[in-house]
Amino acid sequence: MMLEITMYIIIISILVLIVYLIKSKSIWEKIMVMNLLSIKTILFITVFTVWTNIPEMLDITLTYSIIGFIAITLISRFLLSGGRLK
Amino acid sequence: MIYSLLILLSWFFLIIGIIGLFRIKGIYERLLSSSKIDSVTVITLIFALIIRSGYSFMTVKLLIILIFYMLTNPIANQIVASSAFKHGVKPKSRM
Repeated sequence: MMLEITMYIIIISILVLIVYLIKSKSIWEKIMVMNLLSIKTILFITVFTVWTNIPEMLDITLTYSIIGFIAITLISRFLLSGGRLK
Repeated sequence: MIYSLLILLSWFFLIIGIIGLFRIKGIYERLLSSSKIDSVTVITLIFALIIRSGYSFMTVKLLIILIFYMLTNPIANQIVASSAFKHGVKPKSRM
């Protein structure tokens, strides 16, 4: 019962964050919101895994968190050098 | 009992984090509030799930996810902030 309400709240917060991502002006705020979106997705998959009681689905969560971290660091380094690959 | 209390705390922190993102002006202040509130949300929610799932195979994986998250989230936020500062974005509020 409480896990379903948690999943609904996470879905609503993901929708609000997508609205904020479209509205925001500077590009660093967009990267920050992408970080928050990846964390919300990780939380949703974790809660769904515990709700359905299948422990193999937690590997997807680990892979998703590693990919989100590497993407955010590489994109911010790329923007710091002015959009050039150096 | 403790499980329900932790779940309620995680709802509270999640909603406060979303409200704080809209009320605070300036990118560094938004980074500070969003990263802190999100860390607390993840820690409380994953501890609640650990208490619910009991002594099983799932608990170890949840602990690995929590440790990995607590190691990488401050690094990601610091890299975004340092990238914005080196590129010349000025902070809104002065001390």
